[in-house]
This record gives sequence, structure tokens and C-alpha cells, in this order.
Amino acid sequence: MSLLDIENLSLDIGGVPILKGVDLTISAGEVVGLVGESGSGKSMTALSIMRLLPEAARVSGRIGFNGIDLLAASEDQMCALRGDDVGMIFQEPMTALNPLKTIGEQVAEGIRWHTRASRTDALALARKMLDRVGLPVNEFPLSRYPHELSGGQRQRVVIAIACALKPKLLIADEPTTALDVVLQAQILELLRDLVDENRMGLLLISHDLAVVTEMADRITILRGGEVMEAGETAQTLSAQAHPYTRQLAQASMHVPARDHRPRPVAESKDVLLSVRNVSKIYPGRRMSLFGKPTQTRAVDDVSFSLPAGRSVALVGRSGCGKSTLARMILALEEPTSGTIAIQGETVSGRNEASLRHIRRDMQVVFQDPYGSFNPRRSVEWLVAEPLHLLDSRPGRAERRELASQALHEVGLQPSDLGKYPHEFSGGQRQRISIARALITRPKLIVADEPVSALDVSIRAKILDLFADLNQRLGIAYLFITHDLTVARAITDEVMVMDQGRIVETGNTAGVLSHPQTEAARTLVEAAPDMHRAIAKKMQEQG
Amino acid sequence: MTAYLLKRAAAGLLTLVVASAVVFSVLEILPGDAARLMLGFNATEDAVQALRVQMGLDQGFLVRYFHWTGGLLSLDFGRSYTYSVPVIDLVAERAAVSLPLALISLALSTAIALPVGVFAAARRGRPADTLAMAASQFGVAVPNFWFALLLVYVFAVWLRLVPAGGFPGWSAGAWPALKALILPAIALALPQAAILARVTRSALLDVLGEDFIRTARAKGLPQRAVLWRHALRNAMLPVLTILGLQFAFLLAGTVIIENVFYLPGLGRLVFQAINQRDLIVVESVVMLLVATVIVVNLLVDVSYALVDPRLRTRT
Repeated sequence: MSLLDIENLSLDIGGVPILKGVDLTISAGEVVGLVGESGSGKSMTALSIMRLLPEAARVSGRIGFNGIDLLAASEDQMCALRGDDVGMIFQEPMTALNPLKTIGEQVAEGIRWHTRASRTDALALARKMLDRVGLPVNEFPLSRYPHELSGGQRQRVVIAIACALKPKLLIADEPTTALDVVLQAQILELLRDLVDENRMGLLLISHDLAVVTEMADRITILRGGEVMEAGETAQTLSAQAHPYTRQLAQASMHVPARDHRPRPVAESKDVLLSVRNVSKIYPGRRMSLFGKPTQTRAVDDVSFSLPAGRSVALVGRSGCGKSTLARMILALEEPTSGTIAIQGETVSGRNEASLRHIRRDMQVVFQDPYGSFNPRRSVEWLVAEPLHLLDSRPGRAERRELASQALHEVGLQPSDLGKYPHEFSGGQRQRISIARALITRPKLIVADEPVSALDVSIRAKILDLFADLNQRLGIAYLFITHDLTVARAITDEVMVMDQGRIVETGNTAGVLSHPQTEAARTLVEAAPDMHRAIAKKMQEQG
Repeated sequence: MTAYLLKRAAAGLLTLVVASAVVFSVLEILPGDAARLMLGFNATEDAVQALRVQMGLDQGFLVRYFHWTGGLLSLDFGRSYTYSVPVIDLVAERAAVSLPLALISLALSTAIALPVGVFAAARRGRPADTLAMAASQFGVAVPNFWFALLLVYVFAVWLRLVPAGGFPGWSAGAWPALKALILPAIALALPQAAILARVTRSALLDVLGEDFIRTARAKGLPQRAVLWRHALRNAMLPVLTILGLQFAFLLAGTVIIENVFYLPGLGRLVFQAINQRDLIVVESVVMLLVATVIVVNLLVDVSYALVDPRLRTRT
């Protein structure tokens, strides 16, 4: 008998159908991956098992867990199960812990609640659990507060809370999506070990096929609340019998068609962006009233140059200084020392007025297509906004013409000009932000994780768009990412950043297949790779 | 933690200095000659001039300012122009009415608002919540002097439970004194309680939507336990802020309420002093109120740090 047996689970919220007849089983010691794009119902499936759905939700079907029908269980029975037999971890570790309680209290709380253990015993068990998840006592005493921990460390605390009572089933909803690849690999390994130790069943929810391929024994693919395909991970993903499975797999490994021929020498000799010995030092926290504040070197003596029309990736772990460097290049922050020049003109130390003609040549695309627009402005206004950087301010008609041209460039219609941001999907919004970046005909676009918030199929299309614009308009890119598949798909060159320094540079394919430095090697090894994972799985199974 | 509190205390002190300068300058600019007022309009110009010299009014602005602030520091507030008694005695006597009044209504409003806010948040969208919020809307909208008159009519005139006004003094015993303060305290507390209940509710609802609440639910805690153990303390931060601000409004509110109930408090004192151009009394009372508000806000800052560990590690 399976540990978890979901039969014909349907769910609607306020009359809107979310899940339609979902079937899924998990046995003890088994890892099942639940994959799908945003809105496919992955998280709602998880919350149905936990019975933590919003109040307006109506559920039907059956969820059998260890012989109990969860949908028929009373709230008291559910409270007894949650945190004891079923644990759950969530996507966003930064906000998943109560900021006012110590990590010890938070791990011990569930233990005390379920076992009626004394405070001392519960804290002792919490200590053991924190040791187990890789937070040793000398660095992470029980008295630490969440704000003193990094994202990866906080996720370990959440895992300790969920696994403290050795649950039979663990539900992990996008547990590593908010973490960089190196942390992701560590957390996934920890989950794998916990499954093996306790013969725990694991439901791993992810939008990332590569992650699921590496982890899961079986996979269930959801779309629009319906199961498209389910089966052994390696077979399912290599056979790709269902058209949607094929579509997902192809999209997640998509590489845009690009012209990799070396450009004419004259063109590539034009240095567009030159960064010379740039450092950024932040004053740190003062440890005592009279002590000297510590300093943080966010960017440490970085030099590089970017030729016109070239696409370069800046990769590194979170906190390595890539975004700080990008902000300095965009003249949003002053370097502590060193110079940054665009087309020979120094960017740093200028006032806004004299920066105007420089800003025109460089534009930016941010990660979050939801947060980067004023929701009360029309698309026309939003896209045309950078036009104030032009010396001759265009008139109304001309603004409209330019905006509609920019929309056309990114594959949207001129009729979209009058619409508002909420009328567009995530992928379309990212197109709008690219249109906004294009409207001044910049020579450089700095893109900070431009596709990491997008679903794989949309991501593939946006990458195509970036590649196409690079070819047609000769725009140079500086792509900031921790995702090596993006770097591989769209850039000619890669720079690996580690602790504020650029430690390795070179041709993208070369660096990614033969990394020379420790930092680059760590990144490459940690990056999930679907082909590698399928091959490994096939080999294991003979 | 120490650095944080020192910083807050320094900011409070600076506010006090700025406030003293503003209060003094504003009252300087206002028309009305204290010496002329004290002697009456029939007095000769010479007599007025002599009194001005005696009171030090002929000296320069800065000299008088430093004389005044120096006096404040040594608790010598000067003599009232109209009552001819030391201001400190006058203020101490009146504060014995106003301070208990403000504290009772603060306690009352907190005691009403927190349970109502928590109750409403826990039953969001249900009839109990709607009813509680409708009642609080009423409480916010009703002017407190009107509510005070209503209270007087019901409890003093009709039911004859408490006196309609006046204050017997603490020497008459604690119970009669408290009886005289209870209606004014309720009248003052009502609008504050209504605002505070709404703030408590919305702060709690905000916190209940946070990710860590879901983590606590996934631990197996029932909704009630999550509310008490995780949500309430997090929701206290905005509530404390409003509470600190409300204390200032309470003190200001006493001016009206003390007039309605004929209470010999600071509010009545300052009201009369303004009418009689008894500037030294006005200045002293205003400075006292400013100092009280600053101390209360300092206490709020201290309680922030007690509630929130993130403030303890920040400098």
C-alpha cells in the first residue's frame, strides 16, 4: 500500500476550477516530483494534502494517507498529523521563520506540541536536528534569531522544523527556487539523505525539470490542474510520449539559434564598456560604540571591457557582488574607487544632467516583471518613459510611433499601447520591459536575472527575443545570472565572479565545460543538468 | 541595544530643546503684555513699566529664554502672573488630576481595543467582525465631548451612579476621586480605543498572511495557538507605535474633557492661562506636556527593542 494515495482530487476556489481529477501516489522512501508551470495547481495539491487551503476552497476526491482519509479528517486530527507525520517546507526561506523567536524555540515548538516533551528535552532534540541539517552548535546556537542567518541557512532551519519528528511524508514546495545553484545542490543533497535515513516519502514540487530529474524516482506533470503524464522519471523524460512533456523538456533546454561566427575584427575592437579597477566598499556594522566599523568589499578591484554588440554573462553565487557591479555600471551607485566608461566617457562622478546622454545608451531589464511597472500607467506611457533622455523631446505622435515600434520589436501589437500592466502575463510584461529598454536604441542592455522568474516555455521565448535583438540591432548585453543554462544559451563570453572579484573569464562554452578555478567549478558542478541526470538514472536502472 | 537606546534618548533630548525654543518664540510673538494684564487697564504707564522691569520683561529675548530654560532645569518655573503663586505648585496640583485621568483612559482604551481587535481578526469576515468594526467606526466618528455629555446624562443625571462633574480632590479619599474621573476617562478612551482596535485588527490580519504563519500551521499548531504564539507579538509593533502617538492626543483631549466635567486639571489650567495671557503658565504646561510625550515615546522605543530582536543587534 502506498503511503500517500491521491485519487481524483478536484478543487475549486470561488467557483474557479484549480485541480481536475488529480491522481498521485507516493510510497515510503520514494521521491515523487510534481512539475508544472505557474498556475498549474502544484502548490494547491500540496496545500490540499496539508488541508491548509484558503477558506473559499471546495475539495472533492480522496487523499489517503497511512490509511486515513485526509479530506474527511477533523481539524484536530489534521493538527495531530501536521508537523508530526507530514512535514512541509516552502519556497521563500527569508520569510518562512518568525522573526521574533529564536531558531531553537521555533524548532522545539513543534516537538513540544506533539510529544508533550519538557522544554529541556525538546531543545535538546532541536539541537540534534539543527546539527543534522548542517547548522553546528558553535556557529549556530539555539539562541540565534532568523535575521542573523542567510537564506540557505534559514531554509535548513525550516527543514529542521519539518523533519524534527521524522515525518513519514515530507512535502517540499519549490524548496530551492529562491537559492543560488550551489546552495540548491546542498539543500537537495540534504533532502535526499533525510529520505534515505528515515524512509521518508518526499513530494518535491518544482518548475525546474532538471532539479526534479536529479531527485525524483517518479514524476507527475501537471498543466491547468490536470495530470498530463506520470511515470518513472528517466523513462518519462527520455521517451517524451506526451506532447506537453516534450514541450516542457525542450523549452527547459532551449538554446536560441545564434550566429556564433566571429564578428569582423573592426567591429569587435570597439570597446563599448570599460571597467577599470573598480571597487565598492560598504561600511559595515559597528560592533561596539567606540570600535571601528567593519568594512565589506562588495566589489573588489574588477576590470574588464565589453566590445560593442557582444553578449557577456556575469555569473556567480548570490552575494558575490554581481548586482552591485551592475548598479555601478548603470550609474545608480558610485564606485569607491576605479573608473567605468561607456564609449570612452566616464560614468562615475557625474551629475544626473550630464549623465543623460550616457543613460540613453544603456538600459536595464530587471528580474521581476511584476514589480517593475507603475500599475496605474498605460503601456504607452511606460514604454515611452525613457524618451526624456533624448536631446530633442519627441512630440505626442512621435512618442506613440516610437512606442508602437518598440512593441512590434518585442512581438507585441500596437493595440497593446492603451492597456495596463495587469492585463498582461508575466512573459508579456517582460517583453514590455524589454521594449522600454529598447526605445532609446541603446548600445548596451544590462539584464539582471531577466528570465529567472519566468516559466520555462516563456523563458525560451524571451531568450529567443534577446538573441534576435542582439543579432538584428547589434545591442550588447551584460547578463547577470546564477543560472548557467541561461549563460550557455545566450552569451559569447562569461565572467565568473566570486567574493567581489572576477576570478575567471573566457568563451562561454569553454569555461562551462572546462572550468579552471574553484569558484567556476563549484558553480558548474552544482548546476542541475537534465541530460546528465537522465543518463545517470538510466545507468542506475541498467 | 545600548547604542540604540542612547540614540533614541539623544533624539528625545534634542526634540525637547527645539520644542522649548519654538514654544518660547511663538508665545513671544503673540500680542498681549503680561504686565499690563496683571495691573489692569487703568494702571499708569510708569507702574506697568516698573512691573515689567521687576518681571524681567525688559530684558532681551535670548536672556529671557536662557533664564526660563535654566529655571525649567532646576524645576523653578517662575510665578504665575494671574495667581501670583509659583507655577510649579499650580502645575503639580493640576497634574494630580490630569495625569491619572490620562493614564486611566490609556489603560482603558488598551484594555478595550486589544481584545476587540484580536477577536475581530480571528473572526475575519464573520458577523462578529463586522459588528466590532461597525462599532469602532462609530467610536471614531463620535466627538468625545458629545459622548461625554451622553455619559453624564445616563450615569450621573439618570442613574445617579457618579457625580456629573467637579473633583473632590485626592484628600477626600481615593474612591470619590476615582469616581469623579471615571466618566471623563471613558469619554477620552472611546475614540482612542476605536482607532486602536482597528489598528490591532489590521496589524494582526497582515501578520496572519505572512509566510511564517503557514510554517507554524504546518508544524501542527491549531489556528488559535498560531494567533497567540506567533501572530500577536509580531502585530504589537504597529500597535505600540499608535499607542505612543495616542498618548499625545489623550493629553490634548483633556483640555476639552476637563472643561466638560469641570475638572481642575492641566487642560483647564492651560485654557484659562491662555485667556488671561498668563504666558509663563502656558509655556510651562506646554513644555511639561512635550516632555511627557517624549518620555512616553522613549518608552515605546524601549518596548520595540524588547519585542523585536532585530532592533537589538542594529546600531
